[in-house]
Amino acid sequence: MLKKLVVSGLVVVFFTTFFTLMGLSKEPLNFAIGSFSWREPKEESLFFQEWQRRTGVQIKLIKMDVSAINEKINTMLASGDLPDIMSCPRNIANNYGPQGAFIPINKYFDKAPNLKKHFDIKKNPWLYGPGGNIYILTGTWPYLEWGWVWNRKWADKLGLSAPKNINEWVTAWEKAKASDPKAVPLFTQGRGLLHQFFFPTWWGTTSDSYIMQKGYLRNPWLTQEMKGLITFFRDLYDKKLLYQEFMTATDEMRNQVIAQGKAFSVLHYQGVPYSQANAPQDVVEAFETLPPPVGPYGKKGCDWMGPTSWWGISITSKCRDVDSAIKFLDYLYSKDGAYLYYFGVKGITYEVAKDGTIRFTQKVIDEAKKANQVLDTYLAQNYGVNLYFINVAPYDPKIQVLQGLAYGKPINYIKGQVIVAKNLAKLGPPIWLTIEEQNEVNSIMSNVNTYISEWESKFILGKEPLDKWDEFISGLKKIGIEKVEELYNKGYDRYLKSVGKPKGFVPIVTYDLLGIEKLLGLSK
Amino acid sequence: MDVKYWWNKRFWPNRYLFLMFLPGLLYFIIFCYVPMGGIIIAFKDYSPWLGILRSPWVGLKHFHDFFSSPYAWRLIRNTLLLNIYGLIFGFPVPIIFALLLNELNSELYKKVIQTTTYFPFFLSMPIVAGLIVQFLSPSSGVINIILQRWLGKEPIYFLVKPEYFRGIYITSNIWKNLGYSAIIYLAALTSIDPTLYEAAIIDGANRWQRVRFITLPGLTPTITILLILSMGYILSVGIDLILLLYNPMTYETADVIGTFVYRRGLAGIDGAPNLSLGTAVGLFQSVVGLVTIIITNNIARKISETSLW
Repeated sequence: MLKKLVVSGLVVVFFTTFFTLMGLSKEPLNFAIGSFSWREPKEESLFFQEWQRRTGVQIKLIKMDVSAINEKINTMLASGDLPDIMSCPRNIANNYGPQGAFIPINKYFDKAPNLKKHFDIKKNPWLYGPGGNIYILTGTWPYLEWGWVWNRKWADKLGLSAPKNINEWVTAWEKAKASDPKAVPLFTQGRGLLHQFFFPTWWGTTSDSYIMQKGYLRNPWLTQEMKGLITFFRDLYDKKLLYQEFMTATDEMRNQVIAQGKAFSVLHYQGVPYSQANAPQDVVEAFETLPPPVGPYGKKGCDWMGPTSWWGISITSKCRDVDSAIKFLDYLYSKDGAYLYYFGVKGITYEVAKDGTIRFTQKVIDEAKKANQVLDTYLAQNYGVNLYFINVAPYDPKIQVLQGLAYGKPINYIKGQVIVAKNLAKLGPPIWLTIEEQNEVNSIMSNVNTYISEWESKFILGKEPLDKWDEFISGLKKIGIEKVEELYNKGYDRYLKSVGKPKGFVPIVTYDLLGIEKLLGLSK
Repeated sequence: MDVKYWWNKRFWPNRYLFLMFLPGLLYFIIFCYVPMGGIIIAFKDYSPWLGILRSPWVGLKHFHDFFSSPYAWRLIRNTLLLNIYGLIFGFPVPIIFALLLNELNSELYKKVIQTTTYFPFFLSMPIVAGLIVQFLSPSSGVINIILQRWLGKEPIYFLVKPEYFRGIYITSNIWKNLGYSAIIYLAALTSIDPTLYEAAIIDGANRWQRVRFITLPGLTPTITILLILSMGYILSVGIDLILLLYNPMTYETADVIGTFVYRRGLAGIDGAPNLSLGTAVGLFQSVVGLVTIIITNNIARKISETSLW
């Protein structure tokens, strides 16, 4: 009897322990994610359900209100109460990763074939953070918004053909101004956009890149070419070719200028001219994106954001099951995972046509109409398709274009994105700074940014003569810009030592546009 | 002090008053005094992950960072000047407005005026800034249209001229806060004994004399207290309107300590905020505020009967 009791007891203890452990292993992983009221991630949505089903990993969402997300993340870090997985800004991950808050994901690449392929250090060295580690998974998300847009009908009236270089653009702007004194030949909003369009035209690199000169990385402001560029801006402003209120224009003023048909060219986000709801249809339809012009030094390119997005997903050091977290995130970097993220589930939210284009199903289109919502907002809100604050899936212009077509965005806008994708400015080399170096850079750059912004604005608006350029440069050196250059060069050397000198100066990022151009009538 | 005496004679008879005082006391302890310990991060390179205690001690590094910035004195000067101009032009306006309202006989007219002036207080700063930008636009703004069409002048691009910034800021703030700020003075006016006015009328005092000898002295304690309190904010200035209106062309007069702290301490460079620097500058502002309050309070105590302590 006693024997039976002991055996029964042991069996009960064994099964209880077994099922408890099974239960523990099935404990969902906590996934903290940014949440908009109008684009809220929902556990029960098709995207999250399907993602879990396909990977066999269970998750529980913790929503972080976007309006106070940095405070929320800081509180989580300060309390040590971290979820297993969290979406956060790249800088947070790279600052606190080396201190132990996040795990270096690259150490687990052997278990993640898609991540390993995507984060190939030779192809994507920019994705690596301090110490050559990856603390955050970011999307290679080329933001294809900075295309040179002009009013084709207006240009036709003036007998202009598409400008191929910067001098031809100036001629076009002058003719537009001569045709109508109230015209705004070059509309833009703020200094930042001026840099985004003209830095690639001057140096062929993205606006936030350093310039390689004789094997040394130079801040563009310390190059000889910069004076020419600022003189160019000053001339545009003096001749009233550049929008006179570009420094202070509000979005309402911008929309007014475009809607009234005063803007001959719009150097802004392409979405701005192409999505002017209040502008007459003929004005919007007249806009067309042109390939970027060749600059005075034979360089050209369109600015773009990439290949790292500023936001991504990290695995925290408090993660209870790193292997499952890796498996879960790895899936999103597969082709199927990317399609799940950007389009949802085939047959439910989207269909693929014979010509390879993707369209959302009539069912979801009708639902969005019934809910009186824009399709992309509706799909994000109700199906979890293309949510912000995840955007880690590998993104390429092909998907971007397919998605634009599926959402029914203006065809000229989509063509504009393809043109930008084909003319991407070069990226500066990867720079791996230590935390101490980054702090020093931040401290100096705070003053440098204020100093440059003041002098540049005064030069362009004519408050200071360009004769004072040398005085400006000597002040710039005095506040430490050369020290920052020195640190950047150290960071670049560190990268080269870790990775080995890449073939050529900077790996060229290219995107396979496959049949998209043909589809859009951009090539035969 | 004899505890028994205090308990029996002071505390117990007033126990309900002490009970009412308790939530206020707890509020100040929990939300004002305990968090003061956080000041220590001004002397550390604070990392939320490492926490306050484990973050490395750096002494006065962040104070040095701020004061060695080529813009430190410009930031302090701009902050001080905006506050001084605010005190000179902004402080008396609601007082004068309250006095004028008090002299109105028609209750309906008084209420209409009060409601109208109170309304801008409810507008959010981005809306106010949007209105200002539109009003002052050199191409389509009302002010420039008047300048061009009626006065035959060239349009002025007000928002890129540093010499206009302080005027625009002070005027906008007065316009926005006039109605709200006047309420406290209107409340103080109601506490003045009406028999004083009756006696003055019998004695033959005219309206101006009644304002000068009854109303103004009646308001003086309120004015003094509010003035002393506002001195505590001499190195702080509301930055929301500045952030919405300033640009590199106007930094010369518009960049203040608060905007610097916002750029460096909160927004950060490349998204990396420096909370320690923000705290160091905040501590500096608070110490200066405390010193000016003490000085102003002492002056007020010497030249009048009203003071904070």
